[in-house]
Amino acid sequence: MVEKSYDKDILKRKKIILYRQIKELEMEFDIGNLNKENFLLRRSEIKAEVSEIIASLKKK
Amino acid sequence: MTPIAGGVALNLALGCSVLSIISLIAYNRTLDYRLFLAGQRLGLAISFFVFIATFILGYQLFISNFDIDYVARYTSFETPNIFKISALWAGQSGSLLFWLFILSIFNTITIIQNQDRHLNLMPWVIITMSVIQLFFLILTNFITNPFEPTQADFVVQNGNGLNPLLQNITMAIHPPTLYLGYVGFSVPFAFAFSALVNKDIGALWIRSIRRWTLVSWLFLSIGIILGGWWAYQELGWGGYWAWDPVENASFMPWLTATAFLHSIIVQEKKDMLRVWNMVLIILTFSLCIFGTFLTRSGVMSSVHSFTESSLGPVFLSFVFIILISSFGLMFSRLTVLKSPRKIESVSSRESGFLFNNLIFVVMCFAVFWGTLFPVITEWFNGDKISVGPPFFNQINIPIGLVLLALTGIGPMLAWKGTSNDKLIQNFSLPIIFGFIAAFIFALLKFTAYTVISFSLCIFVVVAISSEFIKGVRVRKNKFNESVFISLYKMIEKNRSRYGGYIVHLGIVLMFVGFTGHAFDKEKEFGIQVGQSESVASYNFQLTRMHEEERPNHYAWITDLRVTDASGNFITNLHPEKRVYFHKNPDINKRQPHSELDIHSTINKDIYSIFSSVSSDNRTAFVKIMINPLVKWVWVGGYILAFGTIIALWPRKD
Repeated sequence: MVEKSYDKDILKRKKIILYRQIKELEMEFDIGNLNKENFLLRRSEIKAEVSEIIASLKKK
Repeated sequence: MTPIAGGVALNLALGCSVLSIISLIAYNRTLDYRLFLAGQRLGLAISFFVFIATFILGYQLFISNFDIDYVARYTSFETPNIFKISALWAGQSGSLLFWLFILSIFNTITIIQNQDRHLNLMPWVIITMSVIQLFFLILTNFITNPFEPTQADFVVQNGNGLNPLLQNITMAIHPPTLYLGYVGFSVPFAFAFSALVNKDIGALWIRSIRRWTLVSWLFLSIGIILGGWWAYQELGWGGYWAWDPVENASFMPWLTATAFLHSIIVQEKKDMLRVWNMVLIILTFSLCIFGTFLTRSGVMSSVHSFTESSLGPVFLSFVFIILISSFGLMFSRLTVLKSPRKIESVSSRESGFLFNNLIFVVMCFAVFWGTLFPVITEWFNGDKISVGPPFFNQINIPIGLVLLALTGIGPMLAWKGTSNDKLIQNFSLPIIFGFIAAFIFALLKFTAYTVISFSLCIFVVVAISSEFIKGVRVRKNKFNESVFISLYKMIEKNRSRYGGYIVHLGIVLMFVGFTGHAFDKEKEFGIQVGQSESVASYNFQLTRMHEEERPNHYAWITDLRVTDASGNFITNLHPEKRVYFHKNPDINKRQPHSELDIHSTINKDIYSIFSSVSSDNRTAFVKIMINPLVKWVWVGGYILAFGTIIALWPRKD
């Protein structure tokens, strides 16, 4: 039980980190540090990771 | 009675530490939660008894109970109250108790903060913290007990008093801040060790220790800067850093901690550099213990080391135990530790951080080697040699300049890689300004290193400023806010990022101050009342010299009127020559000391030292130093602290 909730905590933490990374990515794009192509590519990669985590959390 | 109670408290703390370790090891085998609770509560009990012991010693210092050897050695009736308290960390046994005191505070906070969290990690976190406490309890109970009674057949009428060099408010604060830094790294180390034991390399433990690491780094930084400030204000050689072994002892963990602080960002965001982070935190904590060993064991001789001791072998053994157990465990967990992700591009922020790690570790190794080389040489062939500033400067100035460049390059790199067009866009303006600055400074015939240093400072300031300007511009257009509101909100919503940039700006200002050292001028001369002497473009006239008897010292005071080349008044300086314990019939126990006076402005310091007075009390021998840009070092320090506090400010998840 402790282990399951710990795994859940890890996944929730990862989700928060990934959401922050999306925000950071949007900021980098807005201030001109990223071109559009790289921004869209990286955002979709992170969103895919978030989707996987959400799916894992639903199973737990 | 009370001093005995202090000793008993230390004994009880030692007992509790052993029982705590046993309980928690038993919990790991049986998983009986009662054993965990017992171990946890015994961990708190250790702290409780250490607090009692520390308060008892502090009280004995305050009331000048000279029946205790430590009190008699480091205080006297004449010692001002504030310095009676600071005497707690003036000597070996007191400072080790103080180390333990701070460790106990952090131990208590860690246990209370994590009562309902990290239940898989906490047993080994508490075991590790208890082992560290046990080590210091062994020292304070058996090797250097602060409650030892005075060894005299008579009643001690008065103590020796505190070293005059330590009777300075900066010196009252410098050791505690340094210790808060040193001791603070025990918590991240304990979590890292526990993570290794439990094969838990997940994101959660990194998050728990990031704030601890930043707070410890802040205190270590402030402690180092305060040490430099004290050296500048008190020691009279006109500098703030001499690559003294004890200075190096605090600088080495600062280097690896700075690398660690940056590197864990990569692990948190990208799950990379896990092995690096383990290595860095093990090194940092080991160097903190090693630094305490260097300061307290007497193995080096420096202005800070007050006494020879038998502590050395015990300390060194503990450092080896930490290194062997930690690295041994790390190597056994390598398959779990190694990250499946790889750095994809040289022009990525991850790559920048990796390069950052390498540079900091190389610099740490250079300082370590230079510090220990004299000891190793003396050990092998009995010759006592010294490795001084020329070696350290020759190696570390180029490395420092590379780090300076990285403070500007790093923020402009993107995660996973920066496209060529963005590299050109981001770097053009800083490089142009840097080259223009280099051209101007070269025309002014500055030396190569000063040209490079100032140019890199300009490069970094432009790079970081442009990050601020770009961010404010975007917010201003998006939300139609004023510049100041945009700046405030931008920083508020990205505290880690912009707090970090502010810290980098602080570092740049410090480098400006460091580089000013290349333009220092000095002159020593004898002068009588009414006479004048010129130094650089300033004129110094001795208008008065008089003597004063004060409660704990005798002083000769000079009044120096300073004017510029045009005769305009700048300031009056009053450097003093003092003799502490001047009434002591034993001439060898009287301590002469030069109390400096410094006129400090943003572009230069006028630094005056009253070296000595002639036997007829008519001629004052004075040294004047003109030190450009020194103030930027302290201003940079303030900005560094400010930036760190911004980065530390909690945000809502």
